[in-house]
Amino acid sequence: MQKPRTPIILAISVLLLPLLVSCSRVQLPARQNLPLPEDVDIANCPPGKVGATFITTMSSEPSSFNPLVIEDAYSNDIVGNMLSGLVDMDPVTQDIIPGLAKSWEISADKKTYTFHLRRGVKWSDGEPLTADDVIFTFDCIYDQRYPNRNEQQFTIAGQHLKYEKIDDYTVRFITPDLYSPFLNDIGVAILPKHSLFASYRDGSLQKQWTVATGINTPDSIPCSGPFKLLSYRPGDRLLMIPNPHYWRADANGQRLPYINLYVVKFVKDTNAELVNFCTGQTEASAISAADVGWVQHAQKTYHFTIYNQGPAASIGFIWFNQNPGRNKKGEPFIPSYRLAWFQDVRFRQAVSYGFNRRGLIDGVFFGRATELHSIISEGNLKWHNPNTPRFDYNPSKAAQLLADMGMKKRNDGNLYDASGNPVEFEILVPSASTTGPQIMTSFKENMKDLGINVKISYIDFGTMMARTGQSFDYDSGIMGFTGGGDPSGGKAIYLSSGRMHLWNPSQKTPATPWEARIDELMSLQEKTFDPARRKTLIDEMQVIFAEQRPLIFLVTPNTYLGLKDKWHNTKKDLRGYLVFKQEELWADPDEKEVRHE
Amino acid sequence: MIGYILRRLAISVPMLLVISLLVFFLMSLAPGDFLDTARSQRDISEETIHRLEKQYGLDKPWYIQYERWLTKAVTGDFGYSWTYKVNVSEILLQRVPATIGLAISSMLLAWLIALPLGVLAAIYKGSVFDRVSSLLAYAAISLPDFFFALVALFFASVTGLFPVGGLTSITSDFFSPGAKIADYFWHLALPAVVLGLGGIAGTMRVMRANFLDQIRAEYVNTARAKGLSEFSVMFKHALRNAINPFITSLGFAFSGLLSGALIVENIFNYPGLGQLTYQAFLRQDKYLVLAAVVLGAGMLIVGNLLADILLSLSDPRIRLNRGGAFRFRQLFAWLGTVALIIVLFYLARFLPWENKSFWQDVKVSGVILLVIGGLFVIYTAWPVLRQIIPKLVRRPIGAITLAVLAIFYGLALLAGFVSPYSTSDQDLTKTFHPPTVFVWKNGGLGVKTYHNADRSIAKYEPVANGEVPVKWFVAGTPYKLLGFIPLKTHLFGVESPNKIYLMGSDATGRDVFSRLLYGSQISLTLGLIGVTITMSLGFLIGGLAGYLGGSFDSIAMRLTEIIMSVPGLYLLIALRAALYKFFDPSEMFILIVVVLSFIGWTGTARVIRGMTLSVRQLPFIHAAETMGQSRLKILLKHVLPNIASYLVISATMSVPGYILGEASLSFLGLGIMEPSASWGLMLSQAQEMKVFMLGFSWLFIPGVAMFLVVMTFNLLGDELRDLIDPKFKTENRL
Repeated sequence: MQKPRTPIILAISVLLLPLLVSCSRVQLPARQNLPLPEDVDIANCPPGKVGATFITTMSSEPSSFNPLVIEDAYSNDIVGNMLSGLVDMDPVTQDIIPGLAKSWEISADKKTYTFHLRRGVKWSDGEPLTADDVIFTFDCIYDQRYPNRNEQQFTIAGQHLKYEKIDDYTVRFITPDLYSPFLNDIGVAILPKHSLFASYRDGSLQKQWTVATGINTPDSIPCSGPFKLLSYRPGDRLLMIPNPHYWRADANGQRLPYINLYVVKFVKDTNAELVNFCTGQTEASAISAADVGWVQHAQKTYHFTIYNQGPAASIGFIWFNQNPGRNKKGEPFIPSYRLAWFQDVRFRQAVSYGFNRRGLIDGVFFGRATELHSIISEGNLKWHNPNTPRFDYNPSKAAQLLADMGMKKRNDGNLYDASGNPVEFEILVPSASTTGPQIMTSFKENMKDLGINVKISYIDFGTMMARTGQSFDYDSGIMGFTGGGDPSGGKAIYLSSGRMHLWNPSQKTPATPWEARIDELMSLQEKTFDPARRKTLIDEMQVIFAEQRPLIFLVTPNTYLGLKDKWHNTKKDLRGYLVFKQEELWADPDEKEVRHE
Repeated sequence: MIGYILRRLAISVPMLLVISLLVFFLMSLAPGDFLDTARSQRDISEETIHRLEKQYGLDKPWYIQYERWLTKAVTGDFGYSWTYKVNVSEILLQRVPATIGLAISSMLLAWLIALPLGVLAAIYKGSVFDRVSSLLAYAAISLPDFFFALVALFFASVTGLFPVGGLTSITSDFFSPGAKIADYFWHLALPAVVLGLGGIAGTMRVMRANFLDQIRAEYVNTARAKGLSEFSVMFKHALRNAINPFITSLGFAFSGLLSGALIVENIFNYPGLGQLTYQAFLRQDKYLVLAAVVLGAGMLIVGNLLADILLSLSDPRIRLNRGGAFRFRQLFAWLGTVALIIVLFYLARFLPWENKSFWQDVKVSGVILLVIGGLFVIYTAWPVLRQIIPKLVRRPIGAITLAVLAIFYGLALLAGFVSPYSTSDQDLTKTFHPPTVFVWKNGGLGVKTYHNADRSIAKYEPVANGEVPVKWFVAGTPYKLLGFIPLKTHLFGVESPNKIYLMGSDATGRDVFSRLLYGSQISLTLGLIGVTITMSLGFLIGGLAGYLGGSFDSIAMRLTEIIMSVPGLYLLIALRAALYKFFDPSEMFILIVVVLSFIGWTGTARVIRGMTLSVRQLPFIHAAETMGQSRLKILLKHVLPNIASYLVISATMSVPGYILGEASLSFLGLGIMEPSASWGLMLSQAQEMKVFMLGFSWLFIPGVAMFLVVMTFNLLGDELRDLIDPKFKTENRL
């Protein structure tokens, strides 16, 4: 029996392969006590204890550590902990607060911005952070060899910003035109010139700081944020440790962050992500509305609390194709009688009235969602307008509006328009969406009550993008946008010339008076510097969108955050929701966790 | 030996070439590309996207992209992953150890359990142990693996005995080497068990059959005659010989595990190849997918080669250099196959891809062909069935399985009448409603009514004295019985707005029982249609290849090898994505059948070819040939009836593959689409922790139904095999 054993030995040795790969034992470097920079930022929080480990999960992995390359929120989250910008946003008030720049001045004509950098700030490798780095960052953003998403953001009235170095700690920006959201935008991550200049020159900038860098030489990425990379294992986890040169400290002179080891575990499956949290293995987790019910059972055993964070900042909607154009063969994208329904505001309002969103919230979201009434969600407190026209469930009003359009219900229970066409449409639903099917089945039933026949087509995202953005041969679709931040970020949606103006994108001149008014409001608000005045303009825009209903708003699920009770220095924002800055969080590292009381 | 290895490796080169070409072509058919995500972002400008398109070469047609890739791949550069912005080999090599570790440990586990069980079952053939063990083994393959994986995850989270996924503990970087090894195996345990479970049944049945063959062999008698103890006869002589075929199956078992690992890796968050490839498929990260599939196929080729070498080491009777004289012919066959495929792809460019009515015609002719195929299968199988069914009914298991199938198919036929509601009737005030309890009240059957006591966890309590009577033959939603008789009468129901939920309700308050019945129409016919296609195609190609031989045989067999070398689930996903745009979402059913059959026919074709080859040698075929009968006639009239019994068994045993295949696709979100219902779709919708944790156990009933039907088909197939040919060699097709 000597020979048959060979495969087994072979098998066992192969089995142990992964261990060999990871056999080196990592030592957590001791915290250094380096002197604080001259212009250190003293955090406005009660001092805490250093040394705890923070473990969290993420459902997707970083695609790169290079801010010029990344396109997704997950990579952004991680890089956001590693690199700082000139300015930052206060999580409590959502105001712009100093970052790498300790202060700034705006000229009388509101076009020139002068930023004063903090003196003595160093990158994590000890090199000084100066105005050269800021200039270098903008050189990279505008370089045509490196397509990146920031370029468009910093193109105002078709022109690039002007920027110049005054001295080592002063930079000046000049906007080509009045542009009030400038301070919101300027907080992009500043890049280290000393580390990236060579690759910038030879054209390989976008191949720097890849995931491979994270795997092989994590220490080669100089950081200016609270953390720096310790190690990255794809599909498994990413470890971050404090940046020894970080520019913030607490009132006792203790350099932030308090956390000694920041662990991001990659868990693709949301079920597994939640199980990890509710068995006490991770410190914090986002919890979906439908799952709060069972996750909260473990609150006492594992000492965590679930905080209701209110409606998400994202918006979900159904829209109708209002594109009057023709395809290459000269045929209209959609039959003209249908286009006439979709272009009629009464039709869109009727659909809004006819959709029982309250029922959807109660039944599908376990009561943990909010009806959406505006194109800016309640989740974006600073800009949301609570006084937009509402279209609460009211089938008789819906029927009345349809009747006004000349549509009649016949004996077969179906609705027909004035020329006798049956009122029906197809709706495209991306097949990967999880709540899509539930929303759609309920929408279909609601429309059936009105006599409208809805055909639901689940298609994959690629086809959906092609049909709604290129060939335009569709009736309607369902989609969502992430939200939050300054409304200027939504220009592609709001402006009639926008690429994401879904119902009728990239118009040469506004097709309707209300779209023209929105274009006007958007351009006005960019030139308005008085915050209250800007808010009124944005409020008016929201009222127009709500009345005209190019997007039939759906519901916004509430977001929930689970956090272990041992963490201190969390705050409440203006609405009473829990917020915190990673670098200010602390927990007693000596406290042993008690499980299963 | 070295010459043999080199020759084998040389032949694998055209194979890998064709596989990469196939996958690349399929991916180019799928709508959209890697930049779709960027296009949907509101703050990425059109110019940026155009520049990215150029940078990635997406503005060029697929064959130019392929050519670019190929010229680089020859030099060992397999391209650049768009998602991770690094070379794909760098990413892939990171993932290989985890997947190989998982695959090997689960295979070892399956063998450790299955081989002894198989041996014991053979020694005690016909005993209670034999029956119970085979029943359990079939039970293990009668549920989709994603279901087991979720149960295991639930188990881990409730008991805390095992980690809930991942490769190692979070703090393992700071462990000592010993603790690291323990930690690694602790994390490996559950995924390996779940993955291994599927292999146990097949391995055990094959082992049992092999061992039975060996026990009956002459040398066993000799050994006994010379007075060896029964123990040495069984374990020193018979066992060693019975194990040999397993070494051969190693390569294919390995490839099966690779694609099986995809789902398990996803659920257990195990950072292996499957998880990576699946994500890359979804994002259309072309080069990463391509490299992963080629790597998978390469691993299969190397696995098969290793298996053959091991076999020759362990069995001196086998010589590797056999067939060496034919190497030129073999090479020509490969070249011919590659040329044929390239010509086909070239011609594909001239198809009217955009013309919808053309594709409609293709579909109609497909249906006509299918009907012909179906009639043909029934015609062929009829004599066997007429002979077998009376015998089957007399055996208890046979009678039970037939009865169970009759009930299920009967209910599927009458779904509209038996179910109280339609598939889409929802009630948002009664979501996750538990099954209603029956009561006997006022001399009639009634059901309790419920109110929602706690909406936040969907807790329902019965209303005191709220019972309502069940009514028989009530009018309700209109439906079409058998697809054409319009009716309104339902077998039972209750007065609206009350609802009767025999098996509870789902997330939008739809009746699970009604959906189960309507879903059975899809789930149960899917298998039958799929089997019809595979059997017709398998017979046509395998039979002709076996009978004609020559270049047709060579090319057909090379084709089957190519298809079998791509890990099954990957090919399924690629095919589905490629063909998706030609089907209306309501036609998903057809698409899934087509895709599953495309992969399924290869195994059947190869077996039928082998059988035809042996039947061809028999005297009556020579007689027929001498009489001047045409080849087709000989094939249909003489060869086919002699292998019809195999077709019947094989057909029965492959139905479960389709039912489970649809479930796996549905789990990945690629199967039947709402608002249609299928068992796989319903079960995949129950795959959320809240269903386990809040105890909505009725949502698993589709799984129970699936389990029953799959189990029944397996047992029926087993029974048929016992009846038709008790000595029939079990084909290892897992």
